[in-house]
Amino acid sequence: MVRCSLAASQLGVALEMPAAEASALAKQHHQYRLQIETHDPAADREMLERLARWCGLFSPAILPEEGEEPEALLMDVTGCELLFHGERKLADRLLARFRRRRLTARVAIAETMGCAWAVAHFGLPDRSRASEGSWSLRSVRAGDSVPADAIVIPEGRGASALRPLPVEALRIPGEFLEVLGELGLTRIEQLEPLTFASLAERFGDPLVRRLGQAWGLVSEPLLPPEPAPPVHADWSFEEPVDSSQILQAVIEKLIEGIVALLQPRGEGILRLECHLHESSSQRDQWSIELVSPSLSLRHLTELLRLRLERSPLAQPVMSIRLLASKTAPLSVRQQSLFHEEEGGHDPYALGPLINRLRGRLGDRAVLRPRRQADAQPERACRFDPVKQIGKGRQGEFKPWSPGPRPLRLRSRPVPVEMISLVPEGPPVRFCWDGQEHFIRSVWGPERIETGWWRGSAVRRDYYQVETAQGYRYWLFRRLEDARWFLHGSFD
Amino acid sequence: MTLTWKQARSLEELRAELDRRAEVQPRTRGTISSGIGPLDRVLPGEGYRRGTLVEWIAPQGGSGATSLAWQVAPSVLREGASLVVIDPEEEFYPPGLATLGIDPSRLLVVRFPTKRRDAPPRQGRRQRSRRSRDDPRESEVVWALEQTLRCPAVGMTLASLESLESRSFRRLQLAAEQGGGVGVLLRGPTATKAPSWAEVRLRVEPKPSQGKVRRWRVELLKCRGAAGMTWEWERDRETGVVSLATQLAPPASRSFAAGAS
Repeated sequence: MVRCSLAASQLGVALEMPAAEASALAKQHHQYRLQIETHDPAADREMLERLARWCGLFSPAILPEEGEEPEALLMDVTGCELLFHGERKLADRLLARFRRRRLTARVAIAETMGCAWAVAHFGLPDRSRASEGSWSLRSVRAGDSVPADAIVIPEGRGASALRPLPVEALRIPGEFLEVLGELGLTRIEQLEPLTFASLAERFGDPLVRRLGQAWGLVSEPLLPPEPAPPVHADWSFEEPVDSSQILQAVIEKLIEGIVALLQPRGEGILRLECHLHESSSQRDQWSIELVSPSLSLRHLTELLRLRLERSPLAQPVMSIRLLASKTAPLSVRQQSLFHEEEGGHDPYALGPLINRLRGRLGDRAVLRPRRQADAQPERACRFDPVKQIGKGRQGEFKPWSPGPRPLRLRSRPVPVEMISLVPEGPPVRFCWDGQEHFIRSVWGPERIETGWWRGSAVRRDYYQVETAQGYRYWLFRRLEDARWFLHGSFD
Repeated sequence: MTLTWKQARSLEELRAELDRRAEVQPRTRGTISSGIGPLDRVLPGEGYRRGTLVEWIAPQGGSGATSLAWQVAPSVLREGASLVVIDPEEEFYPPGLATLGIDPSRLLVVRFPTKRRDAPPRQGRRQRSRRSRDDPRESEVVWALEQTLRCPAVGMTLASLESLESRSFRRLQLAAEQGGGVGVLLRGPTATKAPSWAEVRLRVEPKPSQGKVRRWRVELLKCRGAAGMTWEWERDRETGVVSLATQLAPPASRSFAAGAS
């Protein structure tokens, strides 16, 4: 028995117990059946690495600890706590993330990696006293009496947290523990009066290094892991091919391969690049970008087809490479399902539509209007291309402008011929588009003077006018030369 | 088989209950309020049927018909669905929605940037200046509209279409049926003569305002059971509510009373 669950340890299952004995114990006393899996250190390690990637949103530097059989993840959160409003909140969110996956984890944040490791494994000193010093490495490993928890050691308190902990908390190999035990050195505080030099002489470097790392005297850099290389799939033709049908069939095959490679990683595609090597050593390349990660073969194939329609082949193609240059975990997508269950529509359901429209019409086809703090009507609204979708920010709806605004605005105001009875007086009728419009009612003016810092100052008096037939337009008079323009219509 | 009086009675009650439920059903599931009281009152199910097209016909810009068409948006947003505007002319101006009380945070606008074959689009710089203002091909607009209508997350799709082939029209209607949202088409006067696959077709003509209160004469050209109806509507300036025009001061032209058909 190498590891067991919390529930199993409560049944009396202990570590290093033969599996047969453990299952007999469980059956005999409690009518439970143990689920026993073969110990597979390689799979454990791989799982831990996956968990490390899965925690990547908390810090870029996160690694499984060194050693043959790592069982802890080390994370450098220096500076990252600012993004989570403090270390306590960061630790809680990290714990919550594990809990959502039904994983029991202990989180500790401290000044040094050694101190955090020690506290995560052995708890806070006052707790160890409460349990009558019964802490041993074995009981911790079995997982009993150590509930999932998040501990944050404030700055400057690392040493006092370390002192009462057993020497096992120093991450030192078993043979050192034995020697220390023989000498009666069981707690870290007992090592404190000894100088490093004498310790090194007696026990060798590893102990000194670990002790130094725990006290923060020896640095322990954590290098962020290399991101997984982007997945790609290649195809070379024996003869140059210029049939887009063949090309499409090949690309569909390649995308299948890419999807198969990404599936175990639990990642979806955000950007897919297609490199075409043409016969005359020329290259052509294009890419499709998705607004939410997808691994749906059908959707990706459709997007590629739309993109291919947009750019027909210029020259015969020798080889193709498809490259998933941007990927993201698909779990984001799964979380949105909960959102959907709560009622309301799933914002990610828009993803396939946006991808399709962008695929055929281009990246600047799907836009989201954004309010801008600018008095000039043309600049009061910005249209941003949709690159990613999430929950729409609601509740921050503010009126766009103080005055009435039309539903249709011309990007360039149209000059019109305006007739007034009195100069500078109210407008009576205007000519536009070969038609004469008699004005029945006028509301305004709304003076807009702005943009002098842009070098082209805008000075306009806006009027909302209604014609005799009941049509409403938005006109302005340019104050510099008193010329009239039609800017929009209240459609 | 004969029934006792009591059994017959409970059967009667069950039938009544069934009828009552059947009446409630379309209001909650099958239809969505148009946001216009007088229109809701005549439409079967008191609103636009989901998965259908609605046509608004107006003689020219500035008539206010678009703002009437937008009245359905608040009901759509309340359900958590999104709005999409197909805007090939690039003249749609979202600030104008504020007076209608529509929150643009769940609004997407689809435009048709002209393609450049040779040069890949540069992303850093904005290059709106040199873009040609040619109308994109009509087929692209219809394609985008069809795709949008088919998306279940979109509750309302709004597009202005001058000409529309009957076959494309039918395709749009099928797409709307699949997506379950409401497709709002803004059409010019020439559309009146063309056949329509829309479930509801309305013709709007502006009327001179009463003070600042906007008025329209609206004719229901097509609708199950209520076609041919004509009203005069007005929009309250403060609340934005569209109701039957008050008859306190009738305008100079002929006025049309409510309920006349």
